Amino acid sequence: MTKSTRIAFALSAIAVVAVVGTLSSATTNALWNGSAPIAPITVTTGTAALAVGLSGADPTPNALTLPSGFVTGFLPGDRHDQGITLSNTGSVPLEVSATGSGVPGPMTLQLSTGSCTAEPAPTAPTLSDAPTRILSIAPGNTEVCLSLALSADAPTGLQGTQLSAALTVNLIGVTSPDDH
Amino acid sequence: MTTNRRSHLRRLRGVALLLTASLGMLAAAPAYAGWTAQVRADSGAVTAGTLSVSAAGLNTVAGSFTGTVRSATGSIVVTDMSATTSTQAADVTVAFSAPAGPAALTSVLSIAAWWTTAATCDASTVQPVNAATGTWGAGLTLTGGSLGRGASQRACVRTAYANMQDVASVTGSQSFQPVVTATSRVRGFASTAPEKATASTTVSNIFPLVIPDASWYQVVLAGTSLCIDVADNMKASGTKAVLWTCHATATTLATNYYNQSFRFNPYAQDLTMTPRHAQDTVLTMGAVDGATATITTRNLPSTNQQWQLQQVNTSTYALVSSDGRCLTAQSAAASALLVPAACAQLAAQKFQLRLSDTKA
Repeated sequence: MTKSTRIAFALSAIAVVAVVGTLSSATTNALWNGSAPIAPITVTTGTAALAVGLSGADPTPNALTLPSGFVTGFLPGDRHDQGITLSNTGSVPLEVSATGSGVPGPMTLQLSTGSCTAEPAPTAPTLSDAPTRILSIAPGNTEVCLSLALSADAPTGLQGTQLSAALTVNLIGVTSPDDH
Repeated sequence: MTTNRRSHLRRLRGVALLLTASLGMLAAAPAYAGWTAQVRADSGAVTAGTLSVSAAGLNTVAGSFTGTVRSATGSIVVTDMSATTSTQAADVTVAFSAPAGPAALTSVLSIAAWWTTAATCDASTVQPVNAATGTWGAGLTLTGGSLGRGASQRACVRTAYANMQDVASVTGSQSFQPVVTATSRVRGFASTAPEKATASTTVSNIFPLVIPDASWYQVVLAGTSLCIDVADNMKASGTKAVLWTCHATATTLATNYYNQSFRFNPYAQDLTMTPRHAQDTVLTMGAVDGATATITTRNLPSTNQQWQLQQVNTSTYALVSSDGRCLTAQSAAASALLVPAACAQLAAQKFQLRLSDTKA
């Protein structure tokens, strides 16, 4: 073996040892992991609640009584509007649907979003016994407009008659799927 | 393959299917159950309103017509009495009719009606060109009114006739009660208020015209022996006509009594009265109340020179100037003047004809 051959052999041996040493060191690293306590997490549940009131008045839970002027004295083609404040007193957005019962045949009951205007929006939903989606409301107050109209074709025989014993509008708020 | 091995494979397939189905169901089921909240709005009874309308002042529409009063103007006030909260104005019409009136009268009595903002309507009120017009017999409907809640609107109503003979009758009087029907309407709802006037529209003291033949007649104040006489047998235009004792006549009147002899000549729809002794003149009514009748030069178509011999009863007549005034004796005595006055079937207004000469 020449001298140069011996030197090359020696360097190769060192390199092999170094690689093996490195591999051995990586394998044993896991054994050095430590642990620490995590800070407590508070899980808070949302609330869903509605209140309702005539526009300009404080909304109250449960129910309101519509003013008599809203439901009396109709002539053909008359439309009476009543602004309503719908208040989402919960903490999550609500999808609001509505039903209207006791609506006489020649009349139309509509609920439109926003304050009452000269004419309800053409797309304002007509309420019936079946729930109709109205709008999505975030927590806080939202104005809607209830419109009751007597058909322009109502016959004269209806004059002075009671068209319905009572009118009831139910407003149902449901949490959005996205909030679960 | 052995039986045990096939059974084992079937069990494996069953487990795989069950797992697949369970996963599928989990994927299709609602992912949540939402929280809900509900509120309600209630009302009392829902009611329709009631339209109501009234008409007042009907008696002012009823006119009292005579030979001199040929037009009457009144007004009615239509008022909305509706029980409703509606702000819609009601369309208003007013119909005028005379359902129980004599057709001979109602068919010739004209009516005009128009809406006005004036406080009153009277003879001086100018009838607009767009007034609704017709006759009481055919009925008239005034349209175009509009009433808000509790509001009132006035309509002027004018009734008139043109010619006395159009409204003449054997009894001299005709009447009917006007009916005014106000209607308010809001689309399909309507309210009607038929109102009959308590006062009547009357025509008084207008009798049918008689046209004597072309003979000469003495005109005698009924119940007396006094005749219409041109004073002092004068021929001059402007000479007064008076009452004087009728000169006796057998078949013909003596020439010197021709100042008591008159012939009735048709003129237009009326007559002229020519004194036989002054045939270039005609009997002329005094122009104003109290002014005596005279003979004057023909000046036709002066209304004072045109007469109607209206038959009051079988044998008596009223001498009525074409402006509707009756020749009236101031007294039943010789020399009494003959003056115009409103026709009232007075004894001083009734005359009889006595043939004095058939010669034309």
